Amino acid sequence: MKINPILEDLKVSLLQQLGVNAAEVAGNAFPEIQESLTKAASMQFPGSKQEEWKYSPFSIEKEAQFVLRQGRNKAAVSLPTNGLENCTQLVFVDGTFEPSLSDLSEIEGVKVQTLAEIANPFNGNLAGYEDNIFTHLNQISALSGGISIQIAPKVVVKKPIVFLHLFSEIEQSAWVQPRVQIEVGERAEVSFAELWQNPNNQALVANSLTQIHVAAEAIVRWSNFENWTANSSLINQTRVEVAEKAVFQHYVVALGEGYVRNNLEIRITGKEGDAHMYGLSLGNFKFHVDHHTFVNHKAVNTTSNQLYKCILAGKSNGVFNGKILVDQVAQKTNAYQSSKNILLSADTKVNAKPQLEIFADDVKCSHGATIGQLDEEPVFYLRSRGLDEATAKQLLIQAFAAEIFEKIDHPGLKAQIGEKVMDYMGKMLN
Amino acid sequence: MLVIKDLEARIGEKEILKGINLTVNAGEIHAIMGPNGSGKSTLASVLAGKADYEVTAGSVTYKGLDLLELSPEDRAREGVFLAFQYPVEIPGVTTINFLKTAVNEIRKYKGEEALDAVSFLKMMKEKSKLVEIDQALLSRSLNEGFSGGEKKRNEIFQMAMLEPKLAILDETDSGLDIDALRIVANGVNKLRTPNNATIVVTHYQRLLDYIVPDFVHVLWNGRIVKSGTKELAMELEEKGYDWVKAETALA
Repeated sequence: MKINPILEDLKVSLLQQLGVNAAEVAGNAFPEIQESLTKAASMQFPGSKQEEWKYSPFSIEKEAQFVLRQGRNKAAVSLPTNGLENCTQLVFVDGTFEPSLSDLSEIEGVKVQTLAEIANPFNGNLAGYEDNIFTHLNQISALSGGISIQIAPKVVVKKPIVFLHLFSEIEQSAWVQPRVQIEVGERAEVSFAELWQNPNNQALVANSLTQIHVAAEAIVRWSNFENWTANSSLINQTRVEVAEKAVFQHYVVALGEGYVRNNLEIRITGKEGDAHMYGLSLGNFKFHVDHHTFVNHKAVNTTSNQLYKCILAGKSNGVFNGKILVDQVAQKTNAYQSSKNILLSADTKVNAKPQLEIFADDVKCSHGATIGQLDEEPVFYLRSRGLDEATAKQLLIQAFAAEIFEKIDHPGLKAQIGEKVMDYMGKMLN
Repeated sequence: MLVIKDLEARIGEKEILKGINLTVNAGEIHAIMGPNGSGKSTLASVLAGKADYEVTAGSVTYKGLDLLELSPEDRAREGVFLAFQYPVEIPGVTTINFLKTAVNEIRKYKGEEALDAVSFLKMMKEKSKLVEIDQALLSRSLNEGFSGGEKKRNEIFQMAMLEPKLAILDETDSGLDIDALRIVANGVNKLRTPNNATIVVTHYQRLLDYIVPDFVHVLWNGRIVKSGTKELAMELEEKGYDWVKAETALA
């Protein structure tokens, strides 16, 4: 395969910066890090030739110089004042967990530790998930800034746990690698949210990896708000294992500019496990936003449900690539998937690619995708009642989008996201 | 109030209106009747400003304004209201939600202050009684899962809220049972004042038992071929449209 020299240089530079650090932090004690160093060195950044990345090839500006950000760097940022009420806020600065800005007051049954502190940080390895260079790069630096969260069995965590990502300003481009490992104990119940914002428009690549294990009969709700910026890329990989009778609900709202790639991989390993995934993308300018999902049903009577909506304006691009794999043992699986897209301008593009691979014979699976413009009939109807065209369209688009973001369960979070969504939509229609 | 002169309109290559002449004064109710495909709904849509139709000749003057030059929203703000034959369903948008915006857009256009939430709800309560519409329905997604009767009642409710000068009811009677028809007609009658006018587009005479027109016009093949008083509607009911068609062919 042809090697892209710019990306190859980037890789060499990152590995140089990482190699030193990994040796320092871990003393090469962990074979997982060694393996990732070797693998990353032999792999390339995915381009349009890779099937899983063909609609969202990774690229960087030719002249960009990346500085790998590792270690604590809190002096360079200030905490946003519009903090969320009734949340436990965990702050990452340049991908590194920052305890002094985080709320670490004792919450019964919740244990937050850095990955460097715990004996077996790589419990729950990478096997079986998409093997890509981003994963290995992230793995190499996991111990320098990543955290582990353990929720004890039967604990109902009242306040949502929010991951707030902040970035300091530097002259060069920044490369940051947040890492979170979560264990949710049996019958526990907890909500998480991750907030990605880059208000200073720092040029950066955020290469994030989150692994979640949801034990039997536990309930986990996960909200992700990505308010991204030009000259920046977010590669956000989330891997979830859902055990027997456990429930995992994932909501994502992505808007802004730049490049966002979400890899959400869910394995339902226990019978009657349940996964729900909802996504909303709002695109304007040259925003590129990709929701890439993979659900693997590995047990009987499991359910998954996916609804992804996308509204594009300007010259933005949207991608939905959703794969459902039903193993032979996973009889009585219910798996649904739907991708609905509205294009507001002629320069926008959506690639929707649903994939079903079913090896069990007694399952209910469906998928569907729609791509179209805003219907003329409702617009005329509303205009005939005195609403101007832009207001009518905004109302219709809001209604289309509301089905997704209304599901976010935390009122403060919903209000904050809702405000940004309305603001952004207003600009999409102008 | 409304003067239509030699109005011609088409959709694509198909000519539908071939020279309509009609004058409507304040306080009047005009019925426009005619067989299917005669151009009744096209006339209603052209007056409301639907973009699918291209006006190729003629003029429409409304309150001294060139109606055809106005956007659909400005027509609404000037007091034109179309009750749709097939009201659209809009998931996620409630009647209350968009009507509040609509009422205030119209008030703003007239230079009036926006209604606050309390006044709006009070107005809504009064008007919903007028058309006997269940208030719970108004908090649901517009027309989604509504019965035919509920949809049409919702149209008349919106008309009551927006207080138009010129209301055009496009086949509001179609798909209604006799009770719903009576309720809808009652609403229209209660909203009648010496200052507003109504155009009732219908296929059947039935509705005109409840909304008694001052004038009846028969539209056929894109033209008004016969005009008269309410007795004309009775005659049509008795003799059918073939009678008018034959008469027109002779002339």
